[in-house]
Amino acid sequence: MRHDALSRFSDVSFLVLSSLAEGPKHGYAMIQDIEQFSGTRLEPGTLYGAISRLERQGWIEALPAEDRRRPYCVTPDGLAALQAYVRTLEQVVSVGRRRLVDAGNP
Amino acid sequence: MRWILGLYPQAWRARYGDEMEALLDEYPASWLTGADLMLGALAAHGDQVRGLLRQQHGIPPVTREQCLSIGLGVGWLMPWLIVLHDERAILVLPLIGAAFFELAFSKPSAREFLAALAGAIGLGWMLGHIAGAVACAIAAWAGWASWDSAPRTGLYVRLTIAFVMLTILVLGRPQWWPVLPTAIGIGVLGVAEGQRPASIGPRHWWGLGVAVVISAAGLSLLVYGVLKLLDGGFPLGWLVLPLGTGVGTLALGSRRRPPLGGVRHGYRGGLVALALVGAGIAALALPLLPEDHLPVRAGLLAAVGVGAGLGALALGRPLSKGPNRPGRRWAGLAIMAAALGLVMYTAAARGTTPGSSFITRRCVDGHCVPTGFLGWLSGSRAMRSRQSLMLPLAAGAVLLGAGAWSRRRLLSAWEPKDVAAYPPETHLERRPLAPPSGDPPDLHHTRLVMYEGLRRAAGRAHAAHPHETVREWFHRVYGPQALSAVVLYEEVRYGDIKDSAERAAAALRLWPAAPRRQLRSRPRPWMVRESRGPATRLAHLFAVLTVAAMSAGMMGIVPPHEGTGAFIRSYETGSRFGPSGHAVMRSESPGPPSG
Repeated sequence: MRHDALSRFSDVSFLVLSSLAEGPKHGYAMIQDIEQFSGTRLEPGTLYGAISRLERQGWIEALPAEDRRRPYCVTPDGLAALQAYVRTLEQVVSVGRRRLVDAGNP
Repeated sequence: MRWILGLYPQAWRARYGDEMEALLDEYPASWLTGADLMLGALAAHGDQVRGLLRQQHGIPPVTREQCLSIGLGVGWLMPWLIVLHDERAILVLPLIGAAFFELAFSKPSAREFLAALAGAIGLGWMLGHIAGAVACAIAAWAGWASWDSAPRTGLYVRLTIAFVMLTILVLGRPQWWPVLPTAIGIGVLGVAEGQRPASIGPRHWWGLGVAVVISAAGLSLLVYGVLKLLDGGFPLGWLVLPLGTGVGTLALGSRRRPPLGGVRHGYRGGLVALALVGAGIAALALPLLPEDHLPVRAGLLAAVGVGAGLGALALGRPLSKGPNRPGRRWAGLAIMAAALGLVMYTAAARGTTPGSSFITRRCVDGHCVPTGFLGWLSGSRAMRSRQSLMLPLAAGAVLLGAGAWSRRRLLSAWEPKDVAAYPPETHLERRPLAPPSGDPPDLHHTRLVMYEGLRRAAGRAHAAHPHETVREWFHRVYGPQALSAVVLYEEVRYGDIKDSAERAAAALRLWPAAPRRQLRSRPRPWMVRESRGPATRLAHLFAVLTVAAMSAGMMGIVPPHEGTGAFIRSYETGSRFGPSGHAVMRSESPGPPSG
């Protein structure tokens, strides 16, 4: 399990959007989900830094609070951004894989 | 771990604070979590600055409270500069105060305010070089960045931080540490402000009793120390007294907010001011402290400065009795500033030893001459010119004149177009009050409902700014549709109440009625509609730069300025005073010709 300071500099927004693409989640549920599907454990400061940026960009939005916990959901703009990012990643992955094969390192 | 959340910007905490706390309750925290939260706080401050740069709505006026907080910060700083460097620093205090008061009452833009701030920091640099400039920035940040919250917790906590950091940075000497409990007391005050319960109970009275006991013990130690009946009693008393004040504040913090708000703040501020000013002036007035006990004298002088500022604010709020009468509060500030200037002038005129009494003597080779105020009266022409009272008096006149002029301008400057100067705070949560009862509605009940609305609105983040008219206030809070509420308010307030009751039910739906906790945790548009956003954001930038500069200084990257501390060392080594501790006075007459 990866649990290092570099997680701050990874693409946390991508992880958050990917988590919320499944459905609305509050902060702690997001941390658990991201840890489960990516092996990256986000710290609260990192997570809420990303949440505030995404909310400001209009890619996620807050739902009514449940007790003190507030779930977030991804907006249509956020889904579009996530799709674009995934397409870019897929292209990078395919190119990288092809070049590795070309270099004799399958 | 939750305390780290206090390092985040106010607006951030208002938006994410509750859910972040809920998350931290569930999250298995480690040291890495703490480091991550601190980095997150820095990033949030950076986000604010970037948001400012993106903002396209111009720079709004800086509020009077922010200017006043800067004035208080600079006023608090000045005694340190006087002690550390040059008694001539006294001359700039009233001028700086006048500048900030003038700015405060003329609703300056952030650009103007930044220009004044740069000037103050430049003065600090000139007087104190690196240490003075950094200290100015700390004081400015502490006041400026924190005055935007309805509960004053942030202000007091950051002032505490500023006190502690400044003490460590500029002074760094154990004998100055008595300043620290003062900071702790102020911090406790802030916590009490933010966590007062809704009702008063027996435990609060117990707390008040404990506070009285602690304060009495502190005062007793002070007196015993001053009278030299107990060795070390004075610093010990100075340690204990603020703790008593803090506990008392916690106990008194349980009082309910009175109608229209503010009086409780004034009462509490008066309590703190009384503790600080009383202890400080009592010790300053008694010339019994050792001549070379410079740190305690300087600490007392600083306490007097802070106490004077708090007292002025405390006096001003209950006296003003509303949002549109700043004159009396301003008068209180002017009086306090003038008194502080006189006290400090006397300290300086005595010959670089702050905190001296008005009637003092200095003996050289058995020949005693009066110094201080009497020294100015009876001294030689050279002494009078050197210790001229004219400059501080002129500065005080400038202060008063500027204040009078700005007040006159304030009273005559309102125009209807000013109503649109502030964007409405459309994010406020609104719930209707209970409509007036009776058919037709009972007039007295209508008035009660109206005052209940005022009570709910006063004292919160969206309360009336001191310089605002009622129309400006209502427009800012409720938007253009607030005119009906304004009319209703004016009718109820000024007696023209013919058909008020019928319109009350409709107009009162505009009042924000959410309880305090709901208001604090409501969703607030992040980085967009902060009414004091740019100033606060720039102040946070200041905070980041200040912390960086302080870190560099502490790590030795920035060499200490030679002048800082040299003044104190000169006292300790006796170079400014003779071996007996008396001042060495230079003869101005030329020596006999050689040969």
